[in-house]
Amino acid sequence: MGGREAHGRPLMAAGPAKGAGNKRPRSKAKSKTTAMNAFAIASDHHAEKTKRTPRNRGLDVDFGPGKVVDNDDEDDEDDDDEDERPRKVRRATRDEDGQAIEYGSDSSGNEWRVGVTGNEDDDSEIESDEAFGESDEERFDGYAFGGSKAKTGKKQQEEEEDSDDESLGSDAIDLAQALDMSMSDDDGPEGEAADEDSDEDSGSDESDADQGSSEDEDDSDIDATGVKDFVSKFGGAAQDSEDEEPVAAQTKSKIDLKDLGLFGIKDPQLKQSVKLMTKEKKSSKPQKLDVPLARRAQGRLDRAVAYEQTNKTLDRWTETVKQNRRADHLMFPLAQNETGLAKLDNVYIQPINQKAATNELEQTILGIMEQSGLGPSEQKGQLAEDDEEQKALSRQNIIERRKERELKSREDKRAKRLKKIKSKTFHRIHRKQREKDDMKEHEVRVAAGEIDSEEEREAQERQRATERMGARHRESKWAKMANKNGRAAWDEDVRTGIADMARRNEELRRRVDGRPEKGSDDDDDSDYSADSEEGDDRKRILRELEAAENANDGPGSKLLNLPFMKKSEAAKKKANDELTKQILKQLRDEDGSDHDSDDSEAEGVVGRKTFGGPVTDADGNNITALKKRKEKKPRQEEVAEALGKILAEKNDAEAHVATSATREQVIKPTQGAWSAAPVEKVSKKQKKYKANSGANVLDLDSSAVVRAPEPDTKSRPKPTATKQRGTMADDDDASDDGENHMPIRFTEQELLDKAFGGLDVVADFEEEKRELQDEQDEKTIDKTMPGWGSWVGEGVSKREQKRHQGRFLEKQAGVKKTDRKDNKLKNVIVNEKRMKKNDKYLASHLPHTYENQTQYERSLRLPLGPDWVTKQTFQAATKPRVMLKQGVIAPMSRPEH
Amino acid sequence: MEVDDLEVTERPSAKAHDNGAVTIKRARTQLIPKHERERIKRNKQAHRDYGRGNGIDVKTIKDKKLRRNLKGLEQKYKQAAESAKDAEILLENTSGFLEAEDELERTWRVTQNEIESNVSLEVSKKRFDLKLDQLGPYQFDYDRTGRMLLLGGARGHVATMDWRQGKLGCEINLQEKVRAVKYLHNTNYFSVSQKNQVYIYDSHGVELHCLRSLQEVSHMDFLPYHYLLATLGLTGWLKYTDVSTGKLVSEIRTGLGQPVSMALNPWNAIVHAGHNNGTVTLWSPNSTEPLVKLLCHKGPVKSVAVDREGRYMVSCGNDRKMAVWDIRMFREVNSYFTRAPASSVSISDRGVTAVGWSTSVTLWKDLFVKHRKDQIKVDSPYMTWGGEGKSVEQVKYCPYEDVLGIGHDEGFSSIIVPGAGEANFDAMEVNPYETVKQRRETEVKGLLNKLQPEMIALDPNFIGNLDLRSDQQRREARDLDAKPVDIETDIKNRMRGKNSALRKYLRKQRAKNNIIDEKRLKVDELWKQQQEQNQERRQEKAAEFGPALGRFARKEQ
Repeated sequence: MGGREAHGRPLMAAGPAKGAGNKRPRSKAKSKTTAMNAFAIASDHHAEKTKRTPRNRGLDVDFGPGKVVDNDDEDDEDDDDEDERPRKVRRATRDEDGQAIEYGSDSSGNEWRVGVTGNEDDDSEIESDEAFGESDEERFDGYAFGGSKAKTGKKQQEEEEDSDDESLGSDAIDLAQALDMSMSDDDGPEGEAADEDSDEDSGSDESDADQGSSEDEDDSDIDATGVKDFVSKFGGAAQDSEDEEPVAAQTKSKIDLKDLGLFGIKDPQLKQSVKLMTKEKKSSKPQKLDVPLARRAQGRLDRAVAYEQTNKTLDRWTETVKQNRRADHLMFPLAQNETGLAKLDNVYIQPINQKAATNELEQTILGIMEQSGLGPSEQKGQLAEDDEEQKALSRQNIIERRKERELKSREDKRAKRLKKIKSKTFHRIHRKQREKDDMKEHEVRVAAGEIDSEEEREAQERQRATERMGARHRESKWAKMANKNGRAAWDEDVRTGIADMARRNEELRRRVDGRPEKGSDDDDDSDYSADSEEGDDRKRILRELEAAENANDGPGSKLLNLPFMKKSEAAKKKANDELTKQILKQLRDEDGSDHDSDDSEAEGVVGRKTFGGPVTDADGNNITALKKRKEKKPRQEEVAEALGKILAEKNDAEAHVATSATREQVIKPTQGAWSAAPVEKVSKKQKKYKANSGANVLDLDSSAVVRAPEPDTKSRPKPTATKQRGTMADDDDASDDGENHMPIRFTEQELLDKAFGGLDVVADFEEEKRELQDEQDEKTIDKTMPGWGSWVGEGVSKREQKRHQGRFLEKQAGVKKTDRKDNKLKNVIVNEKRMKKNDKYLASHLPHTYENQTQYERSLRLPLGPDWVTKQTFQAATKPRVMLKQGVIAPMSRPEH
Repeated sequence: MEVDDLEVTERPSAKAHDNGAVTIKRARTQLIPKHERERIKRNKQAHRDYGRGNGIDVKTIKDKKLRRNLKGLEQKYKQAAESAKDAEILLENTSGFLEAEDELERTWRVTQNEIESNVSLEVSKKRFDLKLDQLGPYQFDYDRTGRMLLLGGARGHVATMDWRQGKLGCEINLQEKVRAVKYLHNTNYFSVSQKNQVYIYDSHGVELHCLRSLQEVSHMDFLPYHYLLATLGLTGWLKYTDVSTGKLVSEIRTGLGQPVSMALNPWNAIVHAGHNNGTVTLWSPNSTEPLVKLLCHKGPVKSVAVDREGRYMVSCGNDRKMAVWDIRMFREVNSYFTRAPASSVSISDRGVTAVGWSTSVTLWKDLFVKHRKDQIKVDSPYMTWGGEGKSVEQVKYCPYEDVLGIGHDEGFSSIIVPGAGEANFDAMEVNPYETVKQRRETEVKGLLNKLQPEMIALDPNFIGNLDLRSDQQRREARDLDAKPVDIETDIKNRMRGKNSALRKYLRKQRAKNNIIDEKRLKVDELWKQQQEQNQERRQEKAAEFGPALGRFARKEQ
């Protein structure tokens, strides 16, 4: 604290400060214990202090729990701004308004404060004398908080000081007043110090409490009853409300002047000493203990944190940088988020409008467009009109659709019902009958001798299946889709398709059952009751059908008047009606067939019956069919005969092949005889022969050619196809020619052997190969020189000679026989020597990054030239890594995360 | 089902049981939707047709970056194959073979007359006969685009013609024996092997070069990507001549006597030479020994042909055998007997093999099918021709056409072979409809992209592969006695003109990098010297001119 203050300030002015200290019992106690050991205090506060360096404040470091730091994470540039702030800012706390208040002391011990709110300023404007007026006294009368005594003490003191003034003289100014005056002029350190004091004085208990660090915050913050409750929770019943008094007393353990009752000290010397005391007291406050660290240590810490922070900010870029490094191609300017200069990019062309038309051309174009009704203003009007129309339309549409749906669902329901009737009982009833029918039919056919062959039946079956497949089936995807979307209502195609489907379904059913297309309608229903259970079923079916029929009439009314509705409904209805009719008819049919079989066949027979048609037919159609068949038969026979011939021929050919194969097998040994003669036995004579072999090559002219026997070519039938074509060349010639070109198989191998008997090329070749293999094989050479290190000449014993024989052996590298490429290949010699000239184009060592040969060589295999790959691939392969567009290239924008 | 079908059909070897059941190796146990199955199938096909071999296992790579890169690479391979497969939609032309309608019909019975009467007029024109019975028998060659035909009669008649239009290009009578004719990289140049030397003529029949180093050449072939003319002489020497520089690249003694046949593998530019002892040898200009020796026949190998993709070789010998070899595995696939020793064999783009023997030609289809695991022995030929008394000298397919040329003793015949030619040409490669300008462009491009003869090897993909020699082997291989290269003389020798090599070098190096090495130091020193010399010279000149005119002394750079 400055010396000036020491002079002018009333000695007891420090009292409130002490009082303020008293308000926080815990910190007080702490300061008491640590008051003696300055170093310990410094080190104790060190941890949090390091984090309060001016630099750090700017960076977003978390300062521990509860402490709110002003969070200006704008950018790195902000750091520089913050450097300009006063250097030794100790703490940054927040007052109630959430504004940062910073205060500390400079090197000379002056304390200062920054960022005090206007509110507090107002507080500080209150004259220190009036700071804690009587009214306050009254207000806080009943409330016993930590500093209450101090306050009262202070008041008393001030009263005393007032009296002191009088003693000083009339022209003397009270220091407090002076301070107040000066403070309005400048926010000097002293002023602030006083301000702080006054603040502590005048401020409410909450603001006082806030001054301390978060850990110093204590119960004083909470209102008394709250505290009580809180404490009672922990302390249980033992702690009473009376306990509060002793607690307060405990906190204020240091004896004050006021305690001693020495209020009116007038002795200047004593005043001095008291002042010193208060000073000491003040120094015991935590602010006082914040001795700045050594510059170097501080710097180091600053740097460490700054480094961390910078790292964090830079880490944002890592992903972007990585991506760009890995990218095959980079196009500058980079595609970036809308920051920086990228914002200014106006590549996107605005549509022309009246205002935007800048030049004459645009204006003329616009004019033309307006005239032709394509301009922007016209379009708007049109759009509006269109909109209204559409709205109306859509409304209508909706209504229509609803109607459709209704109608359709009704029809569908009906159809479903019908189907159900058909699906279960219908089949149950008819199964037996069907079987019987089938049997009968079969018998009839057998009797007629025209029972279908297995193949024919299969073919028929297949045909039916294909028909089924081809038809738009009821369960098909198409049908379902049509059903679901209700397309039948408005789509003519679909409607007809559905109708078609139903019709076909019908037909197929009939066909599969082998029933006539139209049953005899004139049958009587009276027979229904013939067998009881079946009759019951029938009745039920009939009832159901009726019910379905009756369900037909619905709300209809207006909907049905719509033409498309009518149409669709008609179609549907038709289908359904058909179905019902069908069922009814079949029911009747069955009866008819049951009792009078004569009636069963009334009209033309469909499906299977076409083939196995009744023999006793009076129908003209069938007769013609039969006739046709008869006509067909001879032709078929013809074909069959032809086929048979072909087959026979084939067999013949196969047999021929087989025989020839066997013959070849037989021949093989003989082949070996002349070709694979043992090399060791190659006589000198032969070798001689070989030497002038070039001259002795036997040239076989065509006259000497051996004709292979052509065993069964003559027996072959002359192909009719060629006959029909009517070739120019006569057939005999052609066939002869063909045989000429056919591959032949030699039987007279001996002749060939004779022809090339002199040339034992195979043996020569083998010999050559062996020699080469031996030559290039690994060898050990005895490099022992006779006479070097041993005796030579006469008289040297054999043993001695032998001893010296293998003394200097040298191994010569080569290719092992088993390692040779041609080791297992017959009739092949592969040169194992190195092509030295090719070495020029070999890589001398494995390039960096590749781990092995295969990886490297694989990387070379993709050709780059346009001759070998598609244009697309070529362009992709030769595209430069970095491409620059003309113009200003904006720097990379900051990544957004 | 499709996938399984594929599996089964691709493996005819899959064992069928007695009851006709077929073992399916990979049964389908999962339910995959149809479109997915189709996609998988398509991808498989793409990989098979356009893939670049099997991928590597990426998962085992430890290095993250490498793993990522290689994964991306594999993806690229896949995409490349798939896009190539997709690009098949652009192949507008389809090819088709003659098909028999029923079992009684034989495709080989269809005569040329029938075909001619049934094809379009334009196509039917492609069948023609040239009656040249005076100076035969005729050798011939089509150029790379298939547009021009070069005919060489054994008795000295050489002519070129645009065979589609029937327009004669040039016609010369050399009045000496013509052994072989061959078109070079385009229709402007062709070489003729005459009685003694090989000559090169231009399209007008003007003799451009006489290659005296190539004596008595019996077989010639041209390597279009390397600009090499490979010749086999009667003495058994194989010589490679670079026709762009005129230099002899390599001379190799085959040591197997007079060669009988020769063919070029279009895939890897290896020369296949057939010899009298029944062997076929494979040669590259980089080795004095054959790379591979195959014993194909028991008599002289009369003719050899290699298919377009370099997978199969068909050879015909005097032992009346026609052998089909897999020349990547070096395994004989199948062998057939011909009725008479074949004189010539040729394989079309689509794998139709034509064998000329005595007076007829037999065409075989599916002698080899590349996707088939086990090749099937074909029973009957695809088509036939001949029997008219014209002894066949040479057969050769016209590129990109369904046309087979036959040179015989009575001239030349062109016949239609449906399905033989490649229907869809790649204009990047060869353009049958190229204009003069395009032809020039291709020539320049071809020269710029010329491959070096050292790049020829059995596996053309070896370039860039790792040298697996040990360090010791490499050190041994290094020539320790070689003189160190003197940079100064090297640069100085190259110096010519005002814009000297030194200056150019310096300019480039200075601009490019600042790596100071020995060479650079030397060059800098030289540069300094030159500068000083120039300065001196200038000063001298200035002195000579006098103080007033001294400023006009020209400053040399």
